[in-house]
Amino acid sequence: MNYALHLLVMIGIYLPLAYSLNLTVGFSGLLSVAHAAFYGIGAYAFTLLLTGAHFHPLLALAAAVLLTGLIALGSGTISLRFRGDLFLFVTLGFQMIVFVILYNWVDLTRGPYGIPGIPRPVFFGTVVRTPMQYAGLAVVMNAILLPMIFALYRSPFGKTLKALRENETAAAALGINPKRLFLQAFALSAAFAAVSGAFYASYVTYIDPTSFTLKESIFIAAILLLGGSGNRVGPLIGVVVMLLLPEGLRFVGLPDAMAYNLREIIYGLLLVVLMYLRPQGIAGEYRMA
Amino acid sequence: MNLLLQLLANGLVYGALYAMLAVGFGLVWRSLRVFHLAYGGLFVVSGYLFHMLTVWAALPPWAAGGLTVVASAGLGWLIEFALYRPFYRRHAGSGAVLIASLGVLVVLENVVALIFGNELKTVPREMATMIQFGNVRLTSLQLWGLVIGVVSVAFLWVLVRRLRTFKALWAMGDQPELIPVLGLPLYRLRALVLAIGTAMAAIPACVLTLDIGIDPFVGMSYLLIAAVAVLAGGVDSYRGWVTGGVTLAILQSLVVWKFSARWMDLVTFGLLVAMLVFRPQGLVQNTKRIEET
Repeated sequence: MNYALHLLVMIGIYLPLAYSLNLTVGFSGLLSVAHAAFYGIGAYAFTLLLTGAHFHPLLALAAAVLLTGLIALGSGTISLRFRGDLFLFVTLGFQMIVFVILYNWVDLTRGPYGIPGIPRPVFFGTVVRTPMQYAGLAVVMNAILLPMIFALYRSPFGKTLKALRENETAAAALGINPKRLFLQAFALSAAFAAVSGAFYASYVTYIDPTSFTLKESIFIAAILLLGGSGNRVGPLIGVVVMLLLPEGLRFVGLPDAMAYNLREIIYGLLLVVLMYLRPQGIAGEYRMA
Repeated sequence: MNLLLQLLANGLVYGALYAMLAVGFGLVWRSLRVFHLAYGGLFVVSGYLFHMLTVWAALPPWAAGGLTVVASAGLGWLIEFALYRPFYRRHAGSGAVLIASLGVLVVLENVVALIFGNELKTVPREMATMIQFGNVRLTSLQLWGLVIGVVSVAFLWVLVRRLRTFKALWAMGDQPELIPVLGLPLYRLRALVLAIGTAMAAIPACVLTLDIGIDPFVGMSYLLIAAVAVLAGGVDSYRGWVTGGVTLAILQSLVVWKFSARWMDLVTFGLLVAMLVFRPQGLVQNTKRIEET
């Protein structure tokens, strides 16, 4: 039972990640592999403000979100000079840089030792502790975040992003400023990722940089590529498939050491086959061009 | 001063290896317009092939290296045949090809890990002999790496500049449809590029496996080095790729000296970002006619 609840919590963490990245990948048509960096910055900023500066948790959360958004604005101004393959490569570089900083700035982040003992959230005098309570909190978080993200999808902002995605030159000719909109989408998606990061930190109560690697970024991007992007169904399917597939493999009874490699091989093959047969993913709207 | 000279010498040795990596990656990117992420996987497979030939088949390093390079060229041809060609035939966008290539990278790395295990594999060899040049000392292996690197990069350079078949590669990157019009075999050219590109990855893979060993997940690091060298050096010019690779290697060896090896990635990508922002055409830019810009 606890195992199922743990899976539910993980889905609750990855849903906002996938839906927020959808703004960049599905709506703007810009494949970014820096999402784990923003997720990590959010987790670290939240943790450090909470344990180091003794902020109130909600204030720490707000500050972490703001900080992540600002960092995304900065990195976005550089990466959004490019489109396509080069955009992807610059975000990849940013992801590597963030990881190196988290790993090596030992004075601030304790580097590879990680930060243990992150306080659990407290609501109305009760400490959130059991998997059941965390699952409830995850549901609440999603109930707040997802409607906000969906409102963005439906809003003129979302539609304009889609117009830019389909034909940037034509949209710009209609008086839309591509750079500004892409930058807003990029920063917003990073800010939402920060909330997931803070939730993750207070769920596992220990963070270290290896949770926020390039591999993790590729994993989050793969959620959208497999499930599909540009709408609301794709990311959901992606999250469920990507998170439950390894668990399914576990039940087949493979030894653990093999299961990891085998899972990665399956993801890799799925990516190749899907890109060939269905570049829009399982249920996506946006076709990878 | 001695230390600086030594570091520059080490940087040059690695520069020769990085230049080979960059040339292989650059050729594929410039002529197929494919962001060839699977390159990292092919690097790893070549390294393990070399390891197998030296340890299990007990071949001397030069024979194992030669066999590995030939086999890797075949593998590159296979990648073009089974992966990139079907995508090209479908007129798939560059993003889709890039993701598929990423998928192949993941598959190759994990297949290797599944067969050989995750740990570092080294090739047993006798102590390398030190060779002294004034104040600089290099191992014989480093010297071999340098010589092989310079020779193969220079050889390919002459081919690219002089042979019609290779000059056509630049044209293929811009207008692949026009290649058959010129009477050149498009698909055979594409396969040739992949074969040569993979062979260029296999040479440093052999040298590095012999020198420091190999594990299944180093592919990404060398892929990133190759890609940064190409992007920082200048996408359009062979000279740029070589310059990019050598610059990157020297910069890295200076960073290791001044700070520590842990900050190396920061410098690599810092260089990339700085180049893209301040000099997006790369270190070396081919002169272009005004109509081309």
